[in-house]
Amino acid sequence: MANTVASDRSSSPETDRMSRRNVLARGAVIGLAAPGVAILGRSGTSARQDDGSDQTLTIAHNVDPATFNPYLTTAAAEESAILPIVEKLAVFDGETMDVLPWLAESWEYLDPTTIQLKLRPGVTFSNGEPLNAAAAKWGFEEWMAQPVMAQASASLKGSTFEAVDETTLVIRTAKPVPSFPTIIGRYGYMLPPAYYAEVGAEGFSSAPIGTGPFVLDRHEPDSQIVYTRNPNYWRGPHTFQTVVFRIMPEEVSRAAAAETGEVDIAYYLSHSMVKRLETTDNVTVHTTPGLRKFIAGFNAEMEGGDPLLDPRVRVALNQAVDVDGIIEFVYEGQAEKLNGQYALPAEFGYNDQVPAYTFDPEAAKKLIADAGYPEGFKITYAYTLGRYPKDREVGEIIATYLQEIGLEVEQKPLEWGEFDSQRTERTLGQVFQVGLLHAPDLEYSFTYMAFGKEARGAPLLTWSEEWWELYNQSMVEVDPDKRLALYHRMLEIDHEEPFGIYLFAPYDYYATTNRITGFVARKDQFIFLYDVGLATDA
Amino acid sequence: MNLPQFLARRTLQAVPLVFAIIVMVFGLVRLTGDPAKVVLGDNATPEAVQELRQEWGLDDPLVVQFGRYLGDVLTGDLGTSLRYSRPVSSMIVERVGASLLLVTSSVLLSIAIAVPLGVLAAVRWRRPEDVVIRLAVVVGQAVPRFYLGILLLLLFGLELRWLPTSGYGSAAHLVMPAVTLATPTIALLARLTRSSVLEVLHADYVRTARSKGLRERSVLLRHVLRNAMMAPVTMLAIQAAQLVGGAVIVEEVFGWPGLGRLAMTAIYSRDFPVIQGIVLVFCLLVIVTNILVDLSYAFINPQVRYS
Repeated sequence: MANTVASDRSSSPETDRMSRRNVLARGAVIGLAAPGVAILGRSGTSARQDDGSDQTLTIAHNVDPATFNPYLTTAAAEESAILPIVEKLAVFDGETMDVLPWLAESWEYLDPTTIQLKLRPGVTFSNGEPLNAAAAKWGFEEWMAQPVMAQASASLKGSTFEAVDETTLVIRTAKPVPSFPTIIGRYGYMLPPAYYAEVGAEGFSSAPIGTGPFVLDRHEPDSQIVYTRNPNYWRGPHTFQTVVFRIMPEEVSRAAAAETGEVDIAYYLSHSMVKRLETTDNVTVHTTPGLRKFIAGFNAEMEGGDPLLDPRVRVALNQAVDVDGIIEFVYEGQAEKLNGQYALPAEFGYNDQVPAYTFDPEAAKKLIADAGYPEGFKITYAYTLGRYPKDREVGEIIATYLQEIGLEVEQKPLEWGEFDSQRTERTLGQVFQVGLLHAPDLEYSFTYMAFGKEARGAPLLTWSEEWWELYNQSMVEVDPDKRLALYHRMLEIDHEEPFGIYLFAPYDYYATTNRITGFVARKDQFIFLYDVGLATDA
Repeated sequence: MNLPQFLARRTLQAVPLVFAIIVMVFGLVRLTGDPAKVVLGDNATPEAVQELRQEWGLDDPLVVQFGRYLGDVLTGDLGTSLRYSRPVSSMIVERVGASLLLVTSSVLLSIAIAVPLGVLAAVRWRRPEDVVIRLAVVVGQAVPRFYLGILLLLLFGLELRWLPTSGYGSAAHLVMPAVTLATPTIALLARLTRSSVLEVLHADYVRTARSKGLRERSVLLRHVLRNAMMAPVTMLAIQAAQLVGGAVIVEEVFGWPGLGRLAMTAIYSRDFPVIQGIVLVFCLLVIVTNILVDLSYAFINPQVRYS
């Protein structure tokens, strides 16, 4: 910069100086003031503050959705911003994760490959289009055509859809699809076909239409989403006239906003953040064990992974890690242990007869010696940095536990992008730590593992022939009881021959002000506003 | 050299710099991971990932991709966001106002607070006022913006409830983000102003001004301050880049919908076109700021000439 200006004391008439100075000063004032005037002159951001009405529900959300098109995203946080507008054929009970009818009144297997779906009659989209069997048929076909839904819709591949009458849709599948109720509970969004054809997938992303209790008023990117009540909602108009999702990525801000009453619901908080809220008079903290399961997956196919082919070694690694201790000291007791299986009680298929592994380093050492490695062996332990809460701490602790039973552990702490690249390139190492959120039917967990063998390079898989046979049977067994029995046996095998160190599922936290009723902390991390209302004394 | 010539020369000088930054950002973002996998998520098949990579042209050789990008930039097209499927330029236009407001408010706040503090510390050299200001300067420089933001939020948003904890749209929303962003700059600027004023205070022409019987206030304002401001103003230009970078963190803490927030989201989702676009805009902002500062030298000292 110094070389661009120089002092010249010999010239510069006063008039020139003044003129230049004035121009610069005016330019500076206009330049600095313009954006301020433009932006601060806009209307306030909080609808609640705007109208001062109790008819506004304000939610502190952590993510600004990239799209309002539910066929283009599988992220729970994004879908939560879509759900006030667009509804599904079925929903999961927030606590039990049972599949309940919603836009679909019922579903029935006419035979193992024929499913009859009955729609709720008289439901219309907010633009007046009817929700009928033809719309549902189009919805399934459009959803299945999206690349992002490739795995989610894999079991329905080759299906045909027939609108038998206004409310009846018959689905003929290429093979039995036992998880059909889970599919429509997780992904069964219904969109208006005529409107969608008019605006296209991208147009729908910014101007969605659905059957839900609210319609989109405006989306101010990274700032807020404002919804207004759908007066013709099929369940009757919602209590709240307006709903505002304020986008607050910082957790401290969300918690503070709940405490000050700036928002009614604070989404997705951590335990350390809600400690203070628990002692705040006007706030209620809601907690639930989440469905995101943490596992340190084994990858025997990696160079140096041979010891992991021996089930005794894999059991030993589970015995070597004090999962209860990690939950106690890292998560302050706020996580649910995976009891010797990659499954949670809220998931369909959980086996309560499978015991948790006992933390026993000496037994682990003996098992490893019995397997032919009395001096231990070298192993790589990869974990993410900042992808999940406290992932680094957990990774470091587990690596230490493994060292204590005589293994030579090379730690690989990686940023997510690099972690994911190495996973695909098959260079991640023998053990890698991830936290995975699946739909609450073990088919999704199992399929992820099976699918991962080919797709992800670093497979989360079992090596048991019997397991694969049971898996193939479970994929076509539509009788829930029989499928449950198959899952139970598969989990027993997974316990005897683990495919990873089964860790825990951290609790999720939400906060609501006491004027709010009907809020449920859902295990799947979605925000359902259907039954949220005002306390009578609020 | 007159003003237009000076501006033309400075603009030309910036061209190779902008080009170098475009090359660097283009290369570096491609080392961070595959955006197709981020967009499609864990549930996507390898075929779907491959299909999307082809659709986005990510399978082409890097040289081809760069040539295409450069051609687009030269025609004013910053590309389409991979995550939002929207033109990057309109996404930047939506948010640049909020970022400009934050950064300019911070600059003004920095000047308004730091200059008087620096002058006071110099005038009251080695007296209690000087000691207190120097101590505050050390603290101000040492506290990370992220931490300071949280502290302010807890104090003024939660405990005292004077200000909204987060958000955008009113003057009250601007206070905490602007103070957080400005604090390290205030500290640095105050320190530099203090040392510059101290140096000028001992100059011969100041002694002459005083011996002519001018009041101390006139000496300070007319002779000392104007001559002492060159170094702090230069520092402000350097700080412009810091402020733009700091805005990324501050916007995240206070939910301020500016370019910083967009940059963070784009980085997490490997949204190459958005990252490239924002870095380009940040780069241009810093260059323009530097040119404005160069121009301001003449405003501060009318004897300064463009060359």
